[in-house]
This record gives sequence, structure tokens and C-alpha cells, in this order.
Amino acid sequence: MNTKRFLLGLVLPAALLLLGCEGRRAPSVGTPEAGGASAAREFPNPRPKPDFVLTDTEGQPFAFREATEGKMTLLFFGYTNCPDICPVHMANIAAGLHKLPDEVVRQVSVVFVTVDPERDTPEHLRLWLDHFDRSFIGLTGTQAEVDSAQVAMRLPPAYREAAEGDAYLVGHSAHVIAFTRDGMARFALPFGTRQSEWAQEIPRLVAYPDKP
Amino acid sequence: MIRRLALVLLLSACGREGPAVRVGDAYAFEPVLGTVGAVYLTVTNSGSAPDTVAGVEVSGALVAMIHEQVTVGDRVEMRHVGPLPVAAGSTVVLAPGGYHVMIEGMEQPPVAGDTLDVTLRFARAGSVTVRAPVLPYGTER
Repeated sequence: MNTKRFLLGLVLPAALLLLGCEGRRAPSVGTPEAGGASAAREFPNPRPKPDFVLTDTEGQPFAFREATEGKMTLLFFGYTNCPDICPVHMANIAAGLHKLPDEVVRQVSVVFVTVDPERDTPEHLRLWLDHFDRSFIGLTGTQAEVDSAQVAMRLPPAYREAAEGDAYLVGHSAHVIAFTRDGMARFALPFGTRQSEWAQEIPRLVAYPDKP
Repeated sequence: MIRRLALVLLLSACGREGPAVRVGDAYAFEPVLGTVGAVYLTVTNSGSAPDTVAGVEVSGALVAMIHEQVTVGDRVEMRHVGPLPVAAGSTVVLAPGGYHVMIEGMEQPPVAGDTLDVTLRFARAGSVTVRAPVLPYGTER
């Protein structure tokens, strides 16, 4: 038996088989971090800022329309026990703001309304928001109050779903709603908006309807 | 005889008979208040048979579950994913806004700069452990 033939018999099919192994590629599944379409989306019918009253992280009443008057306001409904969308959104908005000059930042309010008031006490909400930016406003209330704030924004109220043990998961809107300084909800910013895009969008939203 | 031996060697070398999984690009986000964080990674199955992620464990975490964010209308729902199928020749990406491994009940809350051991238990390929660096939320990739 000659070794050369044996080796050739081994190596050649091996090479072919390896090519065969690599040859078939199905498309990826899963949702990679959004790229592409992630700039502000304009509402076809802008809505006025709702006038719900909730409780801020100092335990004081916070009249949303009045307290944010004249500011470009970013509103997000979420909860602090959220591992993915909520902290990523908040971190990206904060990083976008931190790239901008003070005169722009002064004209912006970022308001985070918890949809999980049972776990998110004002103190807990404050600690969580301070991780991103101390100027972020945190609001809570009774379940009925936070539900009606969402309904006022024509968002379906978040709901709870049982998970393992005593745990539960919360479904909620993944968009940040942007109110321009005239008090109208005009844009939604989807999850996946990157820090550089926030830094670009925020001055535009502040300047609306003018160009920055 | 030699030919048969060669064939057996080839089959085992190529892994044509089953799944061939690789887990890569793993990273974690530091739990904001030390309570709940997320791990992301990529699973590639270059074999000829499907496999399934039957379970996941993360060092120091009491709970590690694969969740999926599903958008229903204007709302996003976080769903617990049971066994996660990885078809032959496919790649499943766990990334922000899609699938993630939620970690809770950390013995010692990990901070940016730490590394976590993440073990995926595959139904056919067995367990695969990778190391995931812990990054602050807001680290863009």
C-alpha cells in the first residue's frame, strides 16, 4: 500500500468536505442592535401634551404639562427592573445629551414614568436615574395613575405578566416620545437610536420648527 | 479497510453527523443598581443538524433566562424564551432589543471590568462556556 495514495485519499475528500461544511449559510436570525432606520419618526397627527399629575422622586406632585412647559420634552414609560430596553435607552439619551452644549441641554426635559410603581419607589427611581443623569425626572403614582398617563398618550397601558416564582415581566412601549417646545408630541424615537443620533436629533427637536 | 478508516476520520473531523456550535462575541451590561443585567452573545451552528439551547447559566447569578423583546403594535413585550432553536447552518444573535439573557440575583453584583462565565447547555452538543466582559450600559458596539 503506498502512503501517498492513502494520504491523497484522506486529504482530498477532507478538503472537499470542509468546503461543504462552510458552503451552506442560512441567514442570521435574532434582532441585532438596530441600525439604519432609527431617526425620529414624525407623528402624522401631532397631539398636545397631556396634563396628567404624577409624583416625582422627591414625593412632590408633578403636573407634566405645566412643569415641562417651554422645554423640549422626551417622555419614556419603563421600569427599573428592565434589563434591556430601558437602561439602554436612558444611557443613550444621557450620552447624546452629554455631547451637547449647555444652552441646548437647558432646554430639554427627560421624563421617565415608571409603569411598575409597586417596585419603583421614588427613592429607587432616583437612584436608578442618577446612574444615567441627575437631571432626569422620574415619575410614579398609583397603578391607575400611571396607566391613565399612558392612555393620555394613547399608548396601551403596560401590563404585568407572571414569570418564575414571584417575579413578573412588564410589557411597555419601546418608543421615546418627543414633545417640541410648543407643547406638541410630534416625534417618536424608536429603540436602537444611537448616541450620535440622539446628539443630532436633540438640537433639531429643540429648534423645531426652525433648523438648528 | 484503510478507506473505511479514512471515511470515519473524515466524518468525525467535519462534524457532518451533528450540530457544530460555536458561541462567541459574549458581553454583559453591568446591572444598574446591582440587581438586573443582561448578557448578549452569538451562537453559530455550522453543522448539518439543528441544535437547541436548552438552558443557560451565568456565574454568580441566581437566575439566568433567555428573553426576547417582541413588538406588538406600539408596545414591546419581554417574553421568556424556552428552548432556543439553532438551525443547522444558522447564526442566532442575542443583542439589545432582541434576545438577551437576563441575569438576576447576583451573589456579588458585577461591575464594568469584571468577567462572567456564561454556560449554554445545548440539547445535542453539550455545554459550552464562554467568558463575557462586563461593560457599562451605553457601551455601543
